[in-house]
This record gives sequence, structure tokens and C-alpha cells, in this order.
Amino acid sequence: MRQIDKEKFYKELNSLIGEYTVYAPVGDRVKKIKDTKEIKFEGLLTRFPAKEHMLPQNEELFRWNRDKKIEVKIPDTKAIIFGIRPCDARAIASLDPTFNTEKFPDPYYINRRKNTIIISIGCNNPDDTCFCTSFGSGPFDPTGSDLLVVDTGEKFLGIGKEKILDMFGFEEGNDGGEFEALKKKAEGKIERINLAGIKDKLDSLKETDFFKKISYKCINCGACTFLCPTCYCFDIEDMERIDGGKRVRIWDSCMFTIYTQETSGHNPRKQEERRMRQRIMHKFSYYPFLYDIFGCVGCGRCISYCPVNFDIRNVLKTIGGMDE
Amino acid sequence: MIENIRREAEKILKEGVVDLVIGFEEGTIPLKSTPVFIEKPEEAQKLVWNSFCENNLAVYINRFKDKKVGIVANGCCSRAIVNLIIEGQIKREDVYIIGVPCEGMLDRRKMLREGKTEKDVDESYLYTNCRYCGHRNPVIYDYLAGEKLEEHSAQYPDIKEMESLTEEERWQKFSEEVNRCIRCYACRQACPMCYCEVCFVDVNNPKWLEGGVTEADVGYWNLGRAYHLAGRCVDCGACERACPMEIKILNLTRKLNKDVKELYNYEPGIDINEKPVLGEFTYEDKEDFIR
Repeated sequence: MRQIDKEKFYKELNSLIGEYTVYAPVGDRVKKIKDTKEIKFEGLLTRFPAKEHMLPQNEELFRWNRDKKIEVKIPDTKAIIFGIRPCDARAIASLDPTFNTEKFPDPYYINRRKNTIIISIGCNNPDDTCFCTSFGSGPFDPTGSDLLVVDTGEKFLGIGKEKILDMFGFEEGNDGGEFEALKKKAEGKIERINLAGIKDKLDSLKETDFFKKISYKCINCGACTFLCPTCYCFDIEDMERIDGGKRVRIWDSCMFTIYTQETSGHNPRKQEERRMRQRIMHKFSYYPFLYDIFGCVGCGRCISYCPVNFDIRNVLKTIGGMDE
Repeated sequence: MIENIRREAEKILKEGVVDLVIGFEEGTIPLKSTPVFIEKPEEAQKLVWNSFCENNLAVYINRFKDKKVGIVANGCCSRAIVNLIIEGQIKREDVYIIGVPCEGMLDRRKMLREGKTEKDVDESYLYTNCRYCGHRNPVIYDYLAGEKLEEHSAQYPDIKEMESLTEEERWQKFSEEVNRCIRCYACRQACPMCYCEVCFVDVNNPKWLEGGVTEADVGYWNLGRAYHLAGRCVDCGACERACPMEIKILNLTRKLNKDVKELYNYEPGIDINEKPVLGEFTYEDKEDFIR
């Protein structure tokens, strides 16, 4: 397996700053860094996922001035996102079928995605709230990463695109089974939830009071969806100023009442349970139906940061335990 | 005390006094109890009361408009209930209160950061508002589940410290905090007093506030929300505990509470027969513009 001294890797990464915009974990967020010395891992996952660099919370689509001149700026900077976890990398990949469609390709997203190299770092020590293995993935899954590195203390083992491995100077070598050993150990710590048949089971619950019961304690804030690396819902807003204005795409959340508020005054999802149903169904029924992947990667942020400890694992387990 | 809570919950469910009891059960993550909604008497055994029951359960009462609700309420939860009654949101007879004297909740995130577990329950981890709490006993209840605790008047050393800073320093502190805001509205949703059917940020015609996350946007949101709580906040801390970005929201609301106390000698949510402080005036008020 190809490998590199960590020191050398960071030196290489540092030398790429400038040519590339480099984002890396700095405390609880993945931030733009000017020097690799700024990188600070705080816990396993950053509190805020890296999706903000693919789909910013506020993204200007175009602007205009009073002379009716319209200016469109499609992002074109080359970027590297380093140090996110494999689940977050897969989460970014899960956004592709939504934004990179044949019919409505989204140039903002596509350009960012195309110009960004994602280097994730394997999880030697997963959190209690991790459940990535339930999705056929795992703490060392390179899916969605251009390069996955595994920290062995002195070295990074690398799996990924040849071109990227060469770019950093990963050398051929023998890891002496360390990758498999670390992988096995990490996977052993993660709870695996049986998701077999979950889509059909969910669909059959659609008109029952199941969602009413589970939504009792949800307070309908957007913490879960905003911190979710796969949630991408947005609203579009015109921000007017005296000298012009801009049209901005902003994050929205299906947990908000206003999300489905119609101009007529009608709101098809006024009740809490309907919004809860939407969130769960979107991730575990509609997304698999449309794209053959789940809209969840099992990072566990919605569990850790939910103000009332709404635990999606319990919902999945309850449904999983039901007869088909 | 927990036995008393469970017994009373079971009793009122069995006797049909209430349709459901809102309380706490063991959570699924470390140092967290989670709201639970008990509908069957035999499920009352699930109820717990410990140092990690950090949500204000009063936020749920209005969800069950067609039901008679029993609720496990500590000091601040009971004060929120009083405020909801004063403001005409619920009726006293619609809610059966199992009162719980409360020794305060612990800052779980701080404990987790320091690698602490359930074994390390210690008052040094008390949330600021719990440490300086003035109403540890429920101010209103139908049943009291434990011995009343000694009360001390509410203190604001944290706010006094903030007041002693210069304007620039305060602004810097404020900026640092609000700039982390992601507009998820967890603070609003966790707050029992934030019950507006349409929040000012959700009104888009006229648009009071854009959906941005610039300092102006998040600052406006945080200040706007705080001001709407002037004379109404019961200092339960639910907003700050709910904030996934750990913004120190109480710096604003506790300052308001301190001001309301000093200006009007008023504490919100104590007596159901009182009027909201900003809903009336007396000749003793400091403002003289109305005379």
C-alpha cells in the first residue's frame, strides 16, 4: 500500500496552498487555511460538515445593478478539502445526483465539485454515535474521496486516485497488514443497524400514526438538517440594496414550518409529524428510490447535536424490527 | 424523589386526571436525559430525574391542545407555565403539574470535553443560570415530588462582569458569539416563551430579515429574539443548551432579566395573577414619558 511520512505530506499540502484554496478542520469547522499549522482536529468530526464548501449556506447566484446590468459569477477556484472523515466525503458525493443532473445541471455546484480534491482521513477511533457501517460503508471507505489517508502514527497510508497519490509523493511500500488491522478494529466499534427493506417498510408507515408518535419530542429546529452533511434543501432569496441586488441561494430546512408555506396560505406540512415524516422518508425512501443511495451516511451529527436527543438510530431500529 | 414522580404520574394516568405525562427518560447519548411522553400508566417507570434534564418541557404543552397534560416541572419550567397562563396561551386547569425542586442542571458539553462521565456529577459543572438561580422550587404545582430547597435570590455576577467591559470589548464578545450562528433556530424552538405562530424572521412580506448569515443578519436575529423576551424570559437556559454552535445566548437574556428586575422589581413567571411587566405601568416606574 502506498504511504508517506506525515511530515512530508503536510509539507506537500502546505506547498499547494496558493495554487489551491485549501480547507481543513480548524476546531469545529472546516476552514480555509493559509498554513497547515492552523489545522486543528477537535474530536472525530467537525461540528459543521464540509458541505458548506460545496454548497455554501449563502451562495450568490447573480447580482444586478440599477443600470440593469446582470453579473453572474460561477466559482472556478481550485480547492483541496483535507482532513474530513470518509462519511463526510461520501456525503458530498451523495449530493451529485441532485445537483449534477442531465436536465438541470447546477453550474455553481458542478464547478466547485469538479475543481475540488477531497482528501479524507480514516477513523481509527470512531464515535459512539457513528453508524456508517449500516450503509455498507465504513470508517475506511474511500468512496467519495479522491484520496483516503490512514494515520498510522508516523505515516499516512493512502488509497485513491493515482494522480493524487503521485501529487503528494506517496511511495510504494508494505503496510504489514496495518490497514486491515486498523480497519477491523475501528469497524468493530461501530453499531450496525439493519436497513434491509427499510424503504418498503417506511412506505407502508406513511399513513399511520408512527410519525406522529416519534415526532412528539422533536422541537422542529433545523439543527439536524443544517449540521447534516447530506441535507441540501435551499431557498432562493433576492437581497435588494439601494444600488442593486443579488439573488442568493440559502440553506433551508424541511423542519421549518415556512419551508412548505404556500402563497395561498395553505401549508401541506403544517403539522410536526408531516415534517418529521418528510425528513425520514427523504433520506431512507425517496433518495434510495431516486438514486439507489441513502440520503444519510451515518455520521451521527443529528444525534450528537439534537437539543432533545432525537435519535435517528432508534427510529431505524424500530422500523427495522417491524415485519415486512 | 424519582419514585414519587413515577408514582404520581402513574396515578394521574390511571385515574384519568391527565391523558399524558411529559417528563424525562434516559437518553441515548452520554449525560443526556430526553423528553418522554407517557400515555400508559405502566410506562411511568421510564421517568427519570437527574442532573441532565436540561430541556424546558413547558415548550411541549401547547402541542397537545386536545389533551389534558401532566408535566414534570422544576422551578424554571413552572415559571414558563405561569408565563404561558399569564399570556393566555394555556389555562391553569389544562395542565397538572408534578413539581420538582431542582438543584440545577450540569453543563454536559463541558463535562464531555473534559472526559467526564455520570460518576463525575459535581456542582462545579452547573450551568451559569442554574448556579445563580433564584427559583429552584416550582412556583406552582398540583403535587410536589420532594422536599423544598432553600432559595437564594437570583444573582448576576456573569452579567456584572460583562457590564464592566468597555463598549468595544462587549461588541467584540457579542460578535464572536453571534458569528457562529447558523440560523437553525434551535434557540427559538427550545424556548417555551417563543410560541409565536409566525416568528418575525419567517415573515417574508414585509421581509424583516433576510436569510443571510452575515454579522448583521445573525446579530439582528439574536438581538431581535432576545428583545422579544424582555420581561418574559424565565432564565431556564433552554435556548443556550439547544444551540448546536454553543453560542452564549444567556449573555443577552440574563442581562434583560437583570434590567427588568432593577427597573421594575419584576421577575417573570412567578404569579399567575400578575400582568406581564411590559403590559402595564405603575407610577413608580422609572420611565416618566407616560405621565
